[in-house]
Amino acid sequence: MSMLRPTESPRIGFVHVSIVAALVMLVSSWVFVLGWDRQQSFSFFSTETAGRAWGFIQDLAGVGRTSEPAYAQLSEWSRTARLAYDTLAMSVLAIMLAAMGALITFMLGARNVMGGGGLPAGVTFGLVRASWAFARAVPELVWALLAVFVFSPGILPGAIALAIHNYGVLSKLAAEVVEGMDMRPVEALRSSGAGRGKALVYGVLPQALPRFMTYLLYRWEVVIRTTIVVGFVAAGGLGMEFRLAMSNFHYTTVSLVLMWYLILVLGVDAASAGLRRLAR
Amino acid sequence: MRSKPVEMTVLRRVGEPRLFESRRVLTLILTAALAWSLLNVGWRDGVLHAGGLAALREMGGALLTPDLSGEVLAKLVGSVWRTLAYAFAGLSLALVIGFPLGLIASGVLRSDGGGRDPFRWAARLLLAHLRAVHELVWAWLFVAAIGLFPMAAVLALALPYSGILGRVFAELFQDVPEGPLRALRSAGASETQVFWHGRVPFVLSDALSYTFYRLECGIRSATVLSFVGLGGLGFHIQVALADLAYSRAWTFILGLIAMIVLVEAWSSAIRRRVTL
Amino acid sequence: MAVLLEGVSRRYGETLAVNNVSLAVPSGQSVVLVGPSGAGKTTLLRLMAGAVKPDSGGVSLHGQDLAGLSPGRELAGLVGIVAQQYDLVANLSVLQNVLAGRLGSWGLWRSLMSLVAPREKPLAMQALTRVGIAERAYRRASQLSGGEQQRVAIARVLVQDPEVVLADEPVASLDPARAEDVLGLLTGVARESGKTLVASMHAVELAAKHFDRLVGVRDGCVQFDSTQDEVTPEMLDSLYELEGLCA
Repeated sequence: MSMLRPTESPRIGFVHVSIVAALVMLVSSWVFVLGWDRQQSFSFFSTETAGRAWGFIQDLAGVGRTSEPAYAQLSEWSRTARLAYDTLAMSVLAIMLAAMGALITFMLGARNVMGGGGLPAGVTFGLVRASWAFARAVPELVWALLAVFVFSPGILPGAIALAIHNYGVLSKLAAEVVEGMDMRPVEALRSSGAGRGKALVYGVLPQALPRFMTYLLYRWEVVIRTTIVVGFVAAGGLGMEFRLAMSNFHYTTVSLVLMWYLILVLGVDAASAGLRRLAR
Repeated sequence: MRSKPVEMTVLRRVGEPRLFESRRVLTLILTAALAWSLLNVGWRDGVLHAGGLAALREMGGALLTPDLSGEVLAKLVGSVWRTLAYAFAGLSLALVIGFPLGLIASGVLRSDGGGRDPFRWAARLLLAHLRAVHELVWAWLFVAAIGLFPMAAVLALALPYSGILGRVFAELFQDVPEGPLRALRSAGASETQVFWHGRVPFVLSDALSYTFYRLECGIRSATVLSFVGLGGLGFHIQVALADLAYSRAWTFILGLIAMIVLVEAWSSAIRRRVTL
Repeated sequence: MAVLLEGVSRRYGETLAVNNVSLAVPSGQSVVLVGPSGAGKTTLLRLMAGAVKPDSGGVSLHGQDLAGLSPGRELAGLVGIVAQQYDLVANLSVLQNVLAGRLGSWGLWRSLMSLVAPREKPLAMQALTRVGIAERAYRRASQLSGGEQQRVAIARVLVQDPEVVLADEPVASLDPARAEDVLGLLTGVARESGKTLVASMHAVELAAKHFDRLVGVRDGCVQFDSTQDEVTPEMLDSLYELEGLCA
C-alpha cells in the first residue's frame, strides 16, 4: 500500500490561514456587536425595539396623522421633482468628471505601457498609481465633507466628491483592461514608424474604449445610489431634503424622497443597460 | 452546410457599419449629458466658497501634520476595530441572506431552469430592491426605527450587500459548464449529488474570491455607515471636521486608507491564489 | 451480448442521424466506430448510453432493455462514459474527480462527507496508479494537461466499474503522441478488466491499431464491420467516397 501513497499531499497554504483568520474575525465581531447590546439599559431583541420599528413604519406611511401625507400631495411631488433633477445632474457631472480624469491618466498607470521607459516613466507611473489608491481609499462621503469647505453650495461639491473617488476606481479598471490587452498591434504600429504616443493612441484606445464605456456606465449605477448620500452633507439634491425631513420628523416627506430615489435608481439602471448595448 | 460561411460574411458586412454607428451615437449622448450637467452648476455664485481657498490650503498643510497624540491614536484603534466588526458581521449576515436567494434566483434548483417558477422571479425582484438602496440610507432608517444599536449598522450593511452577493451568486451558478455535470449524472449521481460535487466546486472559488472583494467594499461602507452616530471611523472624521480640526481628521482618514490598503492587499492575494 | 442494437433509427428534425442500424458486441470486445464527422457515431454512442431514446428499434445492454432504465445507479452500473472534453470538475482535486465515479453507489450523506474526508481512497489510488498519474492525486484537475485529464476520466470510469465503457472521440483533443498513449491505455485497461469497450473515432489508422473490431459508419448506416486484421484500404476509402452505399 505504501507504493500507492501520493508524493504530494494537500498542504496548508495562505488561503487556509486566511479563511481561519476571517472566521476568527467573524466570531469576535458578532460577540462585539451583540455583547455591546447587553450593556445597554434595554435589549435589542425586545418587544420595545419591535414596537419602535413598527411605529416608525407607521410614521413613514403617515398613519394617524391629521395632515395629508406628503407623498399624496401633487405640490410636494412637483417641489421635490426639482431636487430629483439636480440629483440626476450631480450624478452625470460626477461620472463625466471622473471619466475625464481617468482618460487622461489611465495609460500612465498601466504596467505594460510604462514598463521599460526608464526613470521618468517609472516615477510618473508610481505617482499616478498612488493618486488612484488615495482617491479610491477615501469614501465619497469623506471627500464630500472636505469639499463643502472649498466649493460653493449646489451640486458642485457633491459632484466633485463623487468624481474624485470614482476617478480612482475607473482609472484602475481601465488600466487593468490595458494590462490585459494584446500589445502586438501597438508594436506593429511602432515598427511601421509611428511614434510612441501615436502608436498608443491608435493601438490602445480603440481596443480599450468599449470596455471603458461599459465600466463607466456600471459606475454610473453606483454613483446614482451614492448621490443621495453625498447630498446629506454637501447641500444639494434629494440627500439634503432627506436629511432635513429626518431631523424635522417629516416622515412622510422621507417616504416621498425614498420614492424619488427608487425611481432614479431604477431609471438609471435601465438607461445604463440600454447604453451598454450601444457600447458593444 | 456549404452556405454557412457565406451567411457569416453577409452578417459581418451588415454588422460592422451598424456597430460603428451605435458607438458614435453613444459618444454623442455622453457629450450631451456632460454639457447638460455642466449647465446645472450654479456658476454665477462662483465655483469656490468665500473662504474656500484658505480652507484648501489649511487642509493641505494639516495633511503633512496629522494629529498623533496618544488620545487620538487610542480612539483610532478603537474605531478601526469597530469598523472591522461592523463589516465582518454585516457581510456574514449578507451571505446568509444572499446565498439562498441567489440560489433560488439562478433557477438551477429546477430541472427546467425555473423559467416560470414564481419563487425564482420573486427572489430576483427582492434582490433588485435590496441592492437599490444605499447602505447609509438603510442605516439612517434603521437608527430611526430601532435606535443606536450596532445591529442597526450590521443590518444596514447586510441588506444591500445581500442583494449584490445574491445576484453575483445567481450568475455564477448559471455559468457552470454542462459537460462535467453530465459526466457526473452518467456515473449515476443524483441531482443533489450533482449539485454538491459539480456545481458547488465550480462556483466555490469564484464565490470566495468575490466575497473577499466585497469584504474590502464592506469596510469602506462600514466607515461611511458610522456617520449616523454609530461610532466608527466615519463618526470620528465627521466630528473632527465639525471642530475644524483638520489634523485630527487626517489622522482618521490616513488610518482608514492604511486599513483599506492592507485589506485590499490581503483580499487580492487570496483572489490570486483562489482563481486560476 | 454486451451491447445489442436491433434495427435502431433516430431522427433529429430533418436529418436521419441513425438509419436502421443493427449491431451486436460480445462481452469483452473492444469496438471502434469510424467514419467522417456527422456520420452518426456520436448518436449511436448516445443511444447505447441511454442518453437518447431510439425512434424505432431497441437497445439493450447485457440483456437489459434501456427503454426501461432511467438515469441513476442501475444505468451507471451498466455503462460508463469517457468524453472528448474529459468533463472533469475543474476545481476539485484529481482524487475527488476519480471518486465521483462512486457517487452512484453512495448515499447523499456519505458523498457529502467524502468531499471533506475522501472515502474509499485506496480504490481511487489504485485506479490512478493504473493510469499512471498517482502522484497527481492532490492536484486540481484544471492544473493537469489534456492527456493527464483524459487519464483521470479513465480512472473515474474504472472506479465506476460499469459493464460497458463508451468513449466518444477520446483522443480528438490530444496531440498524436499523447493520443497514442491514451488510446493504448484505454484499450489495455478494458482488456485487463474484461470490460466491453465501444469508442468512436475519425482517425482510422490510429483506430485500426488499437481495437479488435472496426465498424465503418456513414450517413447513419453501417458501411462495413470487420476485425482488425481484415480491414482493407478499400473499406476505409468507402467511408469518404462521394456516393454513399446506404441501402
